[in-house]
Amino acid sequence: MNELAMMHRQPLDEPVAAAARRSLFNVLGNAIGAAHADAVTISVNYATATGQSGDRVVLGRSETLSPHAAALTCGIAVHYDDFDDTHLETVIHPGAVGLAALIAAPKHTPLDVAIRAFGLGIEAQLRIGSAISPSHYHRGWHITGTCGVFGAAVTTGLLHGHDADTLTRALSFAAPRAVGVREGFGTMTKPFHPGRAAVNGIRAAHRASTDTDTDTPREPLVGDGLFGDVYADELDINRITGNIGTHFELLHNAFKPYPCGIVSHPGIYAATLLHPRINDDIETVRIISHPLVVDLTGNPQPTDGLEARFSTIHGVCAGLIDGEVALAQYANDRVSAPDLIALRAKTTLIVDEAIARDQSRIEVTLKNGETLVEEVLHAPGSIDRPLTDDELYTKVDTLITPVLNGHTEPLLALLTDPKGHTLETLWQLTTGGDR
Amino acid sequence: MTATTPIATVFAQLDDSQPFAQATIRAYSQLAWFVATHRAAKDTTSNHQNQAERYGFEPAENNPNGYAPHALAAMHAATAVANANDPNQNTQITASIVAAALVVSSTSDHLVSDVANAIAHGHDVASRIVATLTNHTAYNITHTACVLGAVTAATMLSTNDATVRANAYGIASTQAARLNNVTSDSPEQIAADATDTAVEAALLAAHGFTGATSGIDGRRGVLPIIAETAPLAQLHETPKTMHGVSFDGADTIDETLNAATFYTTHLI
Repeated sequence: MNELAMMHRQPLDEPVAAAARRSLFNVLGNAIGAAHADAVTISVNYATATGQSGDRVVLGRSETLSPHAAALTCGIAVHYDDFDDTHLETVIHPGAVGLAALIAAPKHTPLDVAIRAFGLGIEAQLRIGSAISPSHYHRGWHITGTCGVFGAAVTTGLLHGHDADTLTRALSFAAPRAVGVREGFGTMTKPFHPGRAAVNGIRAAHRASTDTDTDTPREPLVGDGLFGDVYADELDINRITGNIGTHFELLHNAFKPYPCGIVSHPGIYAATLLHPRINDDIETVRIISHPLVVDLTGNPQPTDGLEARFSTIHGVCAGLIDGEVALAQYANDRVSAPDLIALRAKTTLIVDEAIARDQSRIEVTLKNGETLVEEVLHAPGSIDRPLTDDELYTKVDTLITPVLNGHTEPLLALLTDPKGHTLETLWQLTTGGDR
Repeated sequence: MTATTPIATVFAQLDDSQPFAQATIRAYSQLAWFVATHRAAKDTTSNHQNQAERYGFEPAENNPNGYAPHALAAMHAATAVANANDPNQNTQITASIVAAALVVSSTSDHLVSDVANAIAHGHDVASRIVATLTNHTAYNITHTACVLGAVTAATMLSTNDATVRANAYGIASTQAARLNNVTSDSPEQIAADATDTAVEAALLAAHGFTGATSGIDGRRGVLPIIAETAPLAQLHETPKTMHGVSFDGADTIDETLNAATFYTTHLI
C-alpha cells in the first residue's frame, strides 16, 4: 500500500488539477446551497450547545466551530441534497469528505496546496472504492462513508506534510473507522456519513502524526481480516496501486444535474424532454430502466424530500409535470402535492437487463390514446455526457445565489488562479449569508 | 409487537419506569466500579489531555468541562478500561455504557436510580447484540455491543420520546461496525470510540437529527451486513443473564451514591 501513499510526491498536472478545481467548485456550491437545511442547522446547534467553538467556518453561514464540528457539519451540508459529485463506477460522492477535511485545516494553508490535497484525497477514495466494487456496495455499505475515511486521512495527512510511511500509518488508523450502511438512506444519516467519515479520517491522520509508539501494520488494507478482505467479496489491488501518477480516477468524477440518486437521472432527463409534448391528461407512465434503479431508487410513493431522492418515479413525474427537476421539486411540500401523488400512483418502474445504467426509456400514455416515448442513451452528468464548464457554473450559481448573491464569479476566479491565496481567502468568499 | 418490527422500535420503547431489580442492583455495582477506576487514574485532567492527544478528541473551548459530552464520555470510558484490573469484553461494554449514562445524565436532573436503570437497560441491549453476533470474528463485536449498549443508556437519559430514541439508534448503528483484526486498536480505544459515537448519536437525535429505525436489523442494517446468518430473532429475546464485572470499589448502594457524588464533584 506504500504505492498509494507515494502520492505525497504526486504533482497534479492539467487536466487533473482542473478536475480537482471543478470538483471543489461543485461541492462548495452544494455546501452553500444547503447551508440552512434542517440537518445542517441541527449539527451547528449541537456543536454550539456543547461548546465546540473555534475559528473553522460553516459555509454559507456566519457561525464558527471547532475543526471537527465544522468538518462534520460541512460533510452533512455537501451531501444533504444528494446533488454533489459522483464517481459513476463506484457511486462514491468523494467531494463531501474532501471539502470537510479542508474545512478543518489551518486557515493559513496555501490554497493551491489545499486543492492538491483535496484532489489526491479524492483519488485515494476512488481507487480504494474501485478495488472493492461492486460487491462492497451491494452488501449494503454506503461507500461514500466507508471509503471517505481514507480520503480524509490522505487530504489531512498531505496538509500535515506526511511522508509515505506516515500516510500509510494514517490509512491504518483510518481503516477500522469506516462508517455507513445503506439502511440510513432517506434520513439525515446519509449525509451524516461523509461528515463523520471526515472526522474519523482527520483523527487518523492526526494520530499518525503524533503516535509513533503504536504498532500499525505496514499494509492497512490488504490481508486476512483487513478492510479489503472483510468489506468486499473481491479485491482488485491493481485498482489501488496500479498506474499511480499516470491514471487518475479523479478525471471520472461527475457532477449531478439533478439533486437525487444518480441512477434516476436518465429517466428524469427523458421526462423533461417529454414535458413540452404533453397535451392531455396522463393515463399511465412506464419507466424502463437498469435493474439497479429499482434496487437503489425504487421508492414508489415517497413522503418527504429526503425519501424522494430515492424515488426515480418521483423525479420522473416531477419532470413530466414541472418540466424541470431542481431543489424545489424535492421540497417537502412539492413531494406531498396532490398532483405528484396522483401521477406517481399511475407510474410503473420496469426493469430491463439490456438497458445501461445511464440509459432510460419513458413511455407516457395520454387520455386521448396517444403514447409519447423518449429514450435517453446518456444522461447529462454521465461519463459520455459530462457537464460542461458553463453547465457546472450555472448549477453552482443556482445554489450559491440565494445564500451569497454575487459570490459565484469571484469564487470561480479564485479557484482558477489560487496562487498566492490561502484557505482564509476561500472562506471569506463562501461564508456569511445568515437568514 | 412482532418479530419483524425493527428492533430499534422495541429498544426505543423499553419501559424505563419499570427497572428489573437484579439488573439495576448490578448497575449500581458497575457505577461504583467505574468511579473506582477513575480514582485509580488520579490526575483526571492530565489523563484527559493525554487521551485527547492520543485518540484525537479535540477540546471544546466553550464547554465548562473542557470537552463536548461525546468526547468527555469517550475519555471516561477509556480511563475505566485502562485502569481495570482485567480488561475484557465485559469491562469495555460496562465502561462505555456507564460513561455514556453519567455524562448524559450530568446535563440534566436525574436521580442516581435513573442512571442505574439506564445502565441496566444498556446492558440488556448489549447482551442481546453479543448473543446475536457470537462467532462472527471479522468484526469487533465488542465495539458493536458498546455502541448500541451505550446509545441505549444515553438516549434513555436524554429523552422520553420513543421516536427520538429510535433516531438515535439509527445514527449509532450506521457506525457500529468495526474491523476486528487491527493491531493498532487497543481495548481503551474501542471503548472510547464506541462511547463517542453513542453519545453523539443520542444528543444529535435529541436535537432533531434523524436516522433509520431499521438501521440495526433492516435488510441493509448493520447486523445483517456484519453477519448474514446471524440469528436476529435473539435480539427480541429476553437475555437470560446480564453482564457482570469485578470491581475494586464500593459494593453497596450507599457507597455507590457516594461514588456518584465523587464523580459529579471531581470528574465533570
